[in-house]
Amino acid sequence: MNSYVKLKQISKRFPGVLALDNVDFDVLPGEIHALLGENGAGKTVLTNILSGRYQLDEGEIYIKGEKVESDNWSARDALEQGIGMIYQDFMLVEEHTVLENIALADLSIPFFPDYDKIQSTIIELGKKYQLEVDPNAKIWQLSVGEKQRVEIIKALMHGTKVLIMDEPTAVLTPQESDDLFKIVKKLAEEGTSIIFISHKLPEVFAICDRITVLRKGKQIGSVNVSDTNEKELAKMMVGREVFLKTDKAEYKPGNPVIELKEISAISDRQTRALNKLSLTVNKGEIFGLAGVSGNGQKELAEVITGLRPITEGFIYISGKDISENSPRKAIREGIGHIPDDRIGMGVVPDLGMPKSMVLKNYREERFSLKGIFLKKEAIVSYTNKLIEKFNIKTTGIESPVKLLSGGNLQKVILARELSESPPALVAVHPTQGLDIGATEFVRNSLENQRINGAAILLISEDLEELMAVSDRIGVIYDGEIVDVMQTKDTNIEALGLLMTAGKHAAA
Amino acid sequence: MLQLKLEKRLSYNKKLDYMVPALSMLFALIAGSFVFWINGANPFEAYKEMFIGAFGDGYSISETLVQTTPLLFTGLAVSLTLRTLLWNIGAEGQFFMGAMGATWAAQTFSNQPPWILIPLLMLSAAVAGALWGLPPAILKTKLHVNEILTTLLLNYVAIFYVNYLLYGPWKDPRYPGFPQTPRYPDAALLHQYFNTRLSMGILIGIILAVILYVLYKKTGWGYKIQVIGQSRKTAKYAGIRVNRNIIRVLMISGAIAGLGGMLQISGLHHKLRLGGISNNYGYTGIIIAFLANGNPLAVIFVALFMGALLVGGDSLQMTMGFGKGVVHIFEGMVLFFVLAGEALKTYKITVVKND
Repeated sequence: MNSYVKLKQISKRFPGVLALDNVDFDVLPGEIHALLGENGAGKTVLTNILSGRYQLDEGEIYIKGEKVESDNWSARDALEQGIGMIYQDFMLVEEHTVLENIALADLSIPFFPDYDKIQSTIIELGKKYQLEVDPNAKIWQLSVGEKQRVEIIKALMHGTKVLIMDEPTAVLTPQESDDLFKIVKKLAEEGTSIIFISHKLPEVFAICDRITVLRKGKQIGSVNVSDTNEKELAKMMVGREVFLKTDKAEYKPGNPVIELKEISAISDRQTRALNKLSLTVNKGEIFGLAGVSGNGQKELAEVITGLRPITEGFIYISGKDISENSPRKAIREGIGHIPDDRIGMGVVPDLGMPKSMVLKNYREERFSLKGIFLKKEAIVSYTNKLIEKFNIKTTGIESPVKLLSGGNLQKVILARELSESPPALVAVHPTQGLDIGATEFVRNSLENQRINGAAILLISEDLEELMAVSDRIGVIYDGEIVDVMQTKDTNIEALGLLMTAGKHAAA
Repeated sequence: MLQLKLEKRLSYNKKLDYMVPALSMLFALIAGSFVFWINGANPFEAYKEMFIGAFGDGYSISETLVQTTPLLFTGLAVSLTLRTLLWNIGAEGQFFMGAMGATWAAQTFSNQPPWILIPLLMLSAAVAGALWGLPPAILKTKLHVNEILTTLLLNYVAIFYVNYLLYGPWKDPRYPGFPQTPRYPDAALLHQYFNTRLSMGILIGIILAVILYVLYKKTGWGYKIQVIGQSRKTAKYAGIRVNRNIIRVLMISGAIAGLGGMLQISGLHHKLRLGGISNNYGYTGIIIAFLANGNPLAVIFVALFMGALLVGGDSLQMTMGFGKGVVHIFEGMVLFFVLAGEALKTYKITVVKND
């Protein structure tokens, strides 16, 4: 069979990096082709070249066997040749309806779009591919899964022949992911080719026909799914054997450290985010909090770390009442915080390493004379110690931390938050967006804290991670904890159901 | 074929912090020569004239320093807020309120000896300036009102209020036709040295710049406002009380500008009046702070450059007949080049060969 799209010896340079190095890639009609690799491997760059968003430096693009003028290959050319891409952050106008968004996607949009016709097409496609969505709903009213469906419909309306999906399951619950897989398979059966970007091996095995693995911009290989296994692929991705199963020490929980008693809080949008929520995390345990994003996780982390006031209830840390919490109080009580917004909250992007390390304890006598004059040498030697201990790779300790890679940036935050062995720790999506090596490091760091007796609240949307790391798992839904289980007594399917159905599933 | 291309810089080049403003001033002078040329003057002659006007002899140097003094204070006031990523466009009004506060103290405690009266004037001026910075600070922290607008608009309120005082309750009864106060008591005046108009104000300004520099670089407070300036969210996360510090910074900034207003009267004008008190010092202070990139030591040199421009511009007016506007053209162009140069801090220009 002839490939629909063929990329030959593609190279792409960014300042200081060779993002793609002589990569070959092709897609057959009706094929689901996975593009697998760690962060920074070049998956997104490659697909962005195909979709015309980036210009290639070297290489050739063939569509249906014909060479195109790759120097001027634009996003519009790609769309006209039936290449559509669904980005991780959806390209939708939040305030507009589904119908209007889809109408906008028409390349030859007339001055007066024929909305009736578009609406009937939406409904027709919805029936055919199980892509049901209300054409007159506003985008902001939709769930993430529904927004993704709108993107798929948009692509189909273009007459897309090759659909590129950039980590489509990253934002979905397990049930939504299953629905998506059905849709993708159906599309492939009808002749659409799918390029499926992912770094999750199980789902690649579930739906893909062929897999191309990239590592650091190089093509490591293309294999049929039937000819390989997870272990081999993981090795291709990382370049060495990986052990993501953290060896866990025995579970011996101690006294309660973080205790929340019937707390409520209001979100930024003035809605009720936490609703008489109670929760206890004990010494020496990792408590995993599962939930679909937007169910109060963010607010819960902020309440414990003092960033958001509670409207009722009590917060105790090691028995001490800190219901009138503030960031300063939380720091004083020894609550470490690994925020999900690393660059925006976890560090000051333009500061160097020393000033980033003492962000929370610069007032201490060892770093400042009478709390006024900073002791620069003490701060620098403290920093050097942490750099060594956490194995942080840097081009120089004074260069701005924003220039660090995601993994090293997270190590800076870990070093600051963990080196003092806080009795309590709130970690929010600590491995999100990190590659396997850095993920391994983060998980091991959490486990070490647990062995040292920290009470850790781990908030994550990655259920596999929660299952691998936590001692107990709670599910948050609509600002309430619907259920708490020992990790060994539950599984991903049960958690997924609780996350999406809340109390109905628990009852 | 050769082609120019913008490329993102991979690392931060510290030298650019100095190069960009320095080259901006140079480019402004080059661009300014076209202004002279179009108007039929020889640019070299004009610049020579300006230079002689500003630095030609002892007296012109002293006049340059006289103009530098208020600029030093407004420049330092704005640079402080710049470090916290706040915009104090209100130095002009705070400068006037400082002059007003000093005048009030000079009238109220007129019988005190100099060693009590002068510090009292300074204190009163600083408090008046700080209070003028307070409403924008409160509006900013409690209601998220943009401080650019509030500080700017309060300038007009300050100037009109001083206007009212000068036409009304504070008018000197001996000169009914002039909106000005009576002369300060002698005990409230600063000595002018070497038969010039130069007082110790310039020295106070330089000392203040050094103190601010040490505060920024060496203290926890300086570190704190740096964190607030670069990421409010991170500051909150680190347990820094952001709102409290924003209020503090805007008030201290107002106090510095207010102190500049006091020195302008006690050291130079000896009575409060409208004309001539401020030569747009509050607004020029914004340009100075920006050129100095918030660095108080750099403020000293940039203020000197701007002061020289003012004095040199004056002499140009006398010798070659160019109006005062020429000076403002320069100020505008310097700012223009600095803003353009900002891009060079994140991007570099490379030459690519295309075949």
